[in-house]
Amino acid sequence: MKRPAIVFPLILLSLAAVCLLAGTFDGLFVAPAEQYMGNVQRIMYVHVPTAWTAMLVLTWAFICALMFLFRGTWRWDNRLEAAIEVSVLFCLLLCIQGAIWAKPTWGVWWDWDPRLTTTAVLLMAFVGVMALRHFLDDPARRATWSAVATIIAYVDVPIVYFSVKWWNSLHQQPSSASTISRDFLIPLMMNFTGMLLLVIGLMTIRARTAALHLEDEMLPPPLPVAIPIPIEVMA
Amino acid sequence: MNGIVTGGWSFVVAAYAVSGAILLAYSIYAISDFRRSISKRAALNNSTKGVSAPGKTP
Repeated sequence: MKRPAIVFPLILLSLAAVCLLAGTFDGLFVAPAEQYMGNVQRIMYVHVPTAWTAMLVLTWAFICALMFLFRGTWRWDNRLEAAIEVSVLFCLLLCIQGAIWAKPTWGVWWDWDPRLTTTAVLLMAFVGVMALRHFLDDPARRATWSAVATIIAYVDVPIVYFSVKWWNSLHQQPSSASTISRDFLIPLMMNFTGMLLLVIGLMTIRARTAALHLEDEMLPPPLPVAIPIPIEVMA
Repeated sequence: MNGIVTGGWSFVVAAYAVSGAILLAYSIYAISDFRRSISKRAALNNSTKGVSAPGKTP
Protein backbone atom coordinates (compact mmCIF):
# COMPACT_ATOMS: atom_id res chain seq x y z
CA MET A 1 0.00 0.00 0.00
CA LYS A 2 1.24 3.49 -0.82
CA ARG A 3 1.97 5.37 2.39
CA PRO A 4 0.04 8.70 2.48
CA ALA A 5 2.49 11.60 2.69
CA ILE A 6 2.23 14.21 5.42
CA VAL A 7 5.14 16.36 4.22
CA PHE A 8 3.04 18.73 2.07
CA PRO A 9 0.47 19.53 4.80
CA LEU A 10 3.27 19.97 7.34
CA ILE A 11 4.94 22.52 5.04
CA LEU A 12 1.59 24.34 4.79
CA LEU A 13 1.19 24.31 8.58
CA SER A 14 4.72 25.68 9.03
CA LEU A 15 4.09 28.49 6.53
CA ALA A 16 0.78 29.18 8.27
CA ALA A 17 2.55 29.46 11.64
CA VAL A 18 5.03 31.97 10.19
CA CYS A 19 2.25 34.11 8.65
CA LEU A 20 0.12 33.98 11.80
CA LEU A 21 3.02 34.89 14.10
CA ALA A 22 4.06 37.78 11.84
CA GLY A 23 0.45 38.98 11.46
CA THR A 24 -0.17 38.76 15.20
CA PHE A 25 3.03 40.67 15.99
CA ASP A 26 2.10 43.37 13.46
CA GLY A 27 -1.49 43.55 14.72
CA LEU A 28 -0.55 43.74 18.39
CA PHE A 29 2.60 45.87 18.37
CA VAL A 30 3.01 47.69 15.03
CA ALA A 31 -0.46 48.74 13.82
CA PRO A 32 -1.82 51.89 15.52
CA ALA A 33 -4.81 51.78 17.87
CA GLU A 34 -8.12 52.64 16.20
CA GLN A 35 -9.54 56.12 16.89
CA TYR A 36 -12.75 55.09 18.71
CA MET A 37 -12.33 51.44 19.68
CA GLY A 38 -8.75 51.82 20.89
CA ASN A 39 -6.76 48.65 21.45
CA VAL A 40 -9.87 46.43 21.49
CA GLN A 41 -10.02 46.85 17.69
CA ARG A 42 -6.87 44.66 17.49
CA ILE A 43 -9.19 41.66 17.99
CA MET A 44 -10.32 42.39 14.41
CA TYR A 45 -6.99 41.06 13.07
CA VAL A 46 -7.86 37.58 14.31
CA HIS A 47 -11.69 37.72 14.25
CA VAL A 48 -12.18 38.87 10.64
CA PRO A 49 -9.69 36.37 9.10
CA THR A 50 -11.42 33.63 11.12
CA ALA A 51 -14.79 34.70 9.70
CA TRP A 52 -13.52 34.83 6.09
CA THR A 53 -11.80 31.46 6.46
CA ALA A 54 -14.90 29.91 8.06
CA MET A 55 -17.04 31.09 5.12
CA LEU A 56 -14.55 29.60 2.63
CA VAL A 57 -14.35 26.27 4.48
CA LEU A 58 -18.15 26.08 4.72
CA THR A 59 -18.37 26.74 0.98
CA TRP A 60 -15.78 24.01 0.38
CA ALA A 61 -17.89 21.62 2.48
CA PHE A 62 -20.90 22.52 0.31
CA ILE A 63 -18.87 21.85 -2.88
CA CYS A 64 -17.62 18.50 -1.47
CA ALA A 65 -21.21 17.50 -0.63
CA LEU A 66 -22.40 18.34 -4.15
CA MET A 67 -19.42 16.56 -5.72
CA PHE A 68 -20.07 13.45 -3.65
CA LEU A 69 -23.72 13.37 -4.67
CA PHE A 70 -22.86 13.86 -8.37
CA ARG A 71 -19.73 11.71 -8.61
CA GLY A 72 -20.29 9.24 -5.77
CA THR A 73 -16.56 8.78 -5.09
CA TRP A 74 -15.22 8.24 -1.56
CA ARG A 75 -12.54 10.87 -2.09
CA TRP A 76 -15.21 13.59 -1.91
CA ASP A 77 -16.72 12.04 1.21
CA ASN A 78 -13.32 12.10 2.92
CA ARG A 79 -12.89 15.74 1.94
CA LEU A 80 -16.42 16.47 3.20
CA GLU A 81 -15.67 14.88 6.58
CA ALA A 82 -12.54 17.03 6.93
CA ALA A 83 -14.37 20.20 5.84
CA ILE A 84 -17.28 19.63 8.27
CA GLU A 85 -14.91 19.18 11.21
CA VAL A 86 -12.83 22.28 10.37
CA SER A 87 -16.05 24.28 9.76
CA VAL A 88 -17.27 23.44 13.27
CA LEU A 89 -13.88 24.45 14.70
CA PHE A 90 -13.89 27.81 12.93
CA CYS A 91 -17.55 28.60 13.73
CA LEU A 92 -16.84 27.86 17.39
CA LEU A 93 -13.75 30.08 17.29
CA LEU A 94 -15.81 32.82 15.64
CA CYS A 95 -18.43 32.75 18.40
CA ILE A 96 -15.78 32.81 21.17
CA GLN A 97 -13.85 35.70 19.57
CA GLY A 98 -17.11 37.57 18.93
CA ALA A 99 -18.11 37.23 22.59
CA ILE A 100 -14.70 38.51 23.72
CA TRP A 101 -15.06 41.50 21.39
CA ALA A 102 -18.70 42.13 22.39
CA LYS A 103 -18.01 42.50 26.12
CA PRO A 104 -15.83 45.66 26.01
CA THR A 105 -17.66 47.24 23.05
CA TRP A 106 -21.34 46.32 23.64
CA GLY A 107 -21.14 45.68 27.38
CA VAL A 108 -22.43 42.09 27.10
CA TRP A 109 -20.82 38.78 26.18
CA TRP A 110 -23.78 37.72 24.04
CA ASP A 111 -26.78 39.37 22.41
CA TRP A 112 -29.52 37.81 20.28
CA ASP A 113 -28.45 40.02 17.43
CA PRO A 114 -29.20 38.69 13.87
CA ARG A 115 -25.51 38.13 12.98
CA LEU A 116 -24.72 36.35 16.26
CA THR A 117 -27.90 34.29 16.23
CA THR A 118 -27.50 33.11 12.63
CA THR A 119 -23.83 32.23 13.31
CA ALA A 120 -24.86 30.22 16.39
CA VAL A 121 -27.50 28.43 14.27
CA LEU A 122 -24.81 27.67 11.67
CA LEU A 123 -22.53 26.22 14.36
CA MET A 124 -25.35 24.06 15.73
CA ALA A 125 -26.33 22.90 12.22
CA PHE A 126 -22.78 21.72 11.45
CA VAL A 127 -22.42 20.13 14.90
CA GLY A 128 -25.59 18.24 13.94
CA VAL A 129 -24.06 17.12 10.62
CA MET A 130 -20.92 15.94 12.46
CA ALA A 131 -23.07 14.05 15.00
CA LEU A 132 -25.02 12.46 12.13
CA ARG A 133 -21.76 11.10 10.68
CA HIS A 134 -20.85 9.58 14.04
CA PHE A 135 -24.23 7.88 14.50
CA LEU A 136 -24.38 6.14 11.11
CA ASP A 137 -22.35 2.95 10.75
CA ASP A 138 -23.00 2.20 7.09
CA PRO A 139 -20.40 4.24 5.08
CA ALA A 140 -22.64 4.69 2.02
CA ARG A 141 -25.65 5.93 4.01
CA ARG A 142 -23.41 8.10 6.17
CA ALA A 143 -21.83 9.78 3.15
CA THR A 144 -25.14 10.41 1.36
CA TRP A 145 -27.05 11.62 4.40
CA SER A 146 -24.26 13.91 5.58
CA ALA A 147 -23.87 15.36 2.06
CA VAL A 148 -27.59 16.18 1.97
CA ALA A 149 -27.47 17.57 5.54
CA THR A 150 -24.46 19.75 4.62
CA ILE A 151 -26.33 21.24 1.66
CA ILE A 152 -29.33 22.01 3.90
CA ALA A 153 -27.10 23.49 6.65
CA TYR A 154 -25.25 25.63 4.09
CA VAL A 155 -28.47 27.58 3.39
CA ASP A 156 -27.65 29.54 6.58
CA VAL A 157 -24.30 30.82 5.20
CA PRO A 158 -25.74 33.55 2.91
CA ILE A 159 -28.20 34.42 5.70
CA VAL A 160 -25.24 34.97 8.07
CA TYR A 161 -23.50 37.16 5.47
CA PHE A 162 -26.52 39.31 4.65
CA SER A 163 -27.95 39.41 8.21
CA VAL A 164 -26.25 42.77 8.91
CA LYS A 165 -27.83 44.25 5.77
CA TRP A 166 -31.30 42.70 6.02
CA TRP A 167 -31.95 43.40 9.70
CA ASN A 168 -31.09 46.13 12.17
CA SER A 169 -27.96 44.61 13.67
CA LEU A 170 -25.56 45.70 16.41
CA HIS A 171 -22.78 44.05 14.41
CA GLN A 172 -20.96 46.42 12.08
CA GLN A 173 -21.41 46.31 8.31
CA PRO A 174 -18.75 44.48 6.27
CA SER A 175 -15.76 46.63 5.24
CA SER A 176 -13.82 46.38 2.01
CA ALA A 177 -10.09 46.70 1.37
CA SER A 178 -10.68 50.15 -0.16
CA THR A 179 -12.17 51.50 3.09
CA ILE A 180 -9.48 50.14 5.45
CA SER A 181 -6.21 51.94 6.18
CA ARG A 182 -3.08 50.18 4.88
CA ASP A 183 -1.73 49.93 8.45
CA PHE A 184 -4.80 47.88 9.41
CA LEU A 185 -4.91 45.90 6.17
CA ILE A 186 -1.37 44.41 6.41
CA PRO A 187 -1.86 42.40 9.66
CA LEU A 188 -5.40 41.50 8.54
CA MET A 189 -4.19 40.01 5.24
CA MET A 190 -1.17 38.31 6.86
CA ASN A 191 -3.42 36.56 9.36
CA PHE A 192 -5.92 35.68 6.62
CA THR A 193 -3.13 34.11 4.53
CA GLY A 194 -1.95 32.20 7.61
CA MET A 195 -5.45 30.93 8.39
CA LEU A 196 -6.01 29.91 4.78
CA LEU A 197 -2.76 27.90 4.70
CA LEU A 198 -3.65 26.42 8.09
CA VAL A 199 -7.08 25.16 7.00
CA ILE A 200 -5.72 23.73 3.72
CA GLY A 201 -3.05 21.85 5.70
CA LEU A 202 -5.49 20.69 8.38
CA MET A 203 -8.15 19.60 5.89
CA THR A 204 -5.56 17.68 3.86
CA ILE A 205 -4.44 15.79 6.99
CA ARG A 206 -8.03 15.13 8.16
CA ALA A 207 -9.12 13.96 4.69
CA ARG A 208 -6.21 11.48 4.56
CA THR A 209 -7.03 10.28 8.08
CA ALA A 210 -10.68 9.87 7.04
CA ALA A 211 -9.54 7.82 4.03
CA LEU A 212 -7.53 5.51 6.32
CA HIS A 213 -10.49 5.10 8.70
CA LEU A 214 -12.78 4.33 5.76
CA GLU A 215 -10.35 1.70 4.42
CA ASP A 216 -10.30 0.08 7.88
CA GLU A 217 -14.11 0.07 7.98
CA MET A 218 -14.33 -1.55 4.55
CA LEU A 219 -11.81 -4.29 5.25
CA PRO A 220 -13.40 -7.74 5.23
CA PRO A 221 -13.86 -9.20 8.73
CA PRO A 222 -10.91 -11.38 9.84
CA LEU A 223 -11.21 -15.10 9.13
CA PRO A 224 -12.07 -17.22 12.18
CA VAL A 225 -8.98 -18.83 13.68
CA ALA A 226 -9.04 -22.65 13.44
CA ILE A 227 -9.00 -24.17 16.90
CA PRO A 228 -7.40 -27.64 16.99
CA ILE A 229 -9.88 -30.12 18.46
CA PRO A 230 -8.35 -32.91 20.59
CA ILE A 231 -8.71 -36.39 19.01
CA GLU A 232 -10.27 -37.87 22.15
CA VAL A 233 -13.13 -35.39 21.99
CA MET A 234 -13.70 -36.12 18.33
CA ALA A 235 -13.73 -39.87 19.00
CA MET B 1 -18.49 58.74 28.59
CA ASN B 2 -17.20 60.01 25.25
CA GLY B 3 -17.90 56.95 23.07
CA ILE B 4 -14.25 55.93 22.99
CA VAL B 5 -13.31 52.49 24.30
CA THR B 6 -10.31 52.70 26.60
CA GLY B 7 -8.09 49.90 27.89
CA GLY B 8 -9.20 46.46 26.80
CA TRP B 9 -5.77 44.83 26.42
CA SER B 10 -6.94 41.93 28.57
CA PHE B 11 -9.70 41.18 26.02
CA VAL B 12 -7.22 41.40 23.14
CA VAL B 13 -4.82 39.00 24.88
CA ALA B 14 -7.72 36.64 25.71
CA ALA B 15 -8.94 36.58 22.08
CA TYR B 16 -5.46 35.80 20.70
CA ALA B 17 -4.62 33.29 23.45
CA VAL B 18 -7.89 31.35 23.10
CA SER B 19 -7.63 31.30 19.28
CA GLY B 20 -3.97 30.21 19.38
CA ALA B 21 -4.63 27.51 21.98
CA ILE B 22 -7.62 26.05 20.11
CA LEU B 23 -5.87 26.04 16.71
CA LEU B 24 -2.66 24.58 18.17
CA ALA B 25 -4.54 21.86 20.08
CA TYR B 26 -6.54 20.88 16.98
CA SER B 27 -3.39 20.83 14.80
CA ILE B 28 -1.62 18.54 17.29
CA TYR B 29 -4.71 16.31 17.46
CA ALA B 30 -4.95 16.12 13.63
CA ILE B 31 -1.28 15.15 13.22
CA SER B 32 -1.29 12.62 16.09
CA ASP B 33 -4.56 11.03 14.85
CA PHE B 34 -3.05 10.69 11.36
CA ARG B 35 0.12 9.10 12.77
CA ARG B 36 -1.98 6.74 14.94
CA SER B 37 -4.00 5.65 11.90
CA ILE B 38 -0.80 5.03 9.91
CA SER B 39 0.73 2.93 12.73
CA LYS B 40 -2.53 0.99 13.11
CA ARG B 41 -2.51 0.27 9.38
CA ALA B 42 1.18 -0.80 9.48
CA ALA B 43 0.49 -3.13 12.43
CA LEU B 44 -2.48 -4.63 10.58
CA ASN B 45 -0.39 -5.20 7.45
CA ASN B 46 2.41 -6.85 9.47
CA SER B 47 -0.02 -9.12 11.33
CA THR B 48 -1.62 -10.35 8.10
CA LYS B 49 1.77 -10.92 6.40
CA GLY B 50 2.71 -13.81 8.70
CA VAL B 51 -0.61 -15.59 8.30
CA SER B 52 -0.54 -18.15 5.54
CA ALA B 53 -3.42 -19.73 3.75
CA PRO B 54 -4.41 -23.26 4.87
CA GLY B 55 -2.36 -25.95 3.20
CA LYS B 56 0.59 -23.72 2.43
CA THR B 57 3.85 -23.40 4.30
CA PRO B 58 4.54 -20.02 5.83
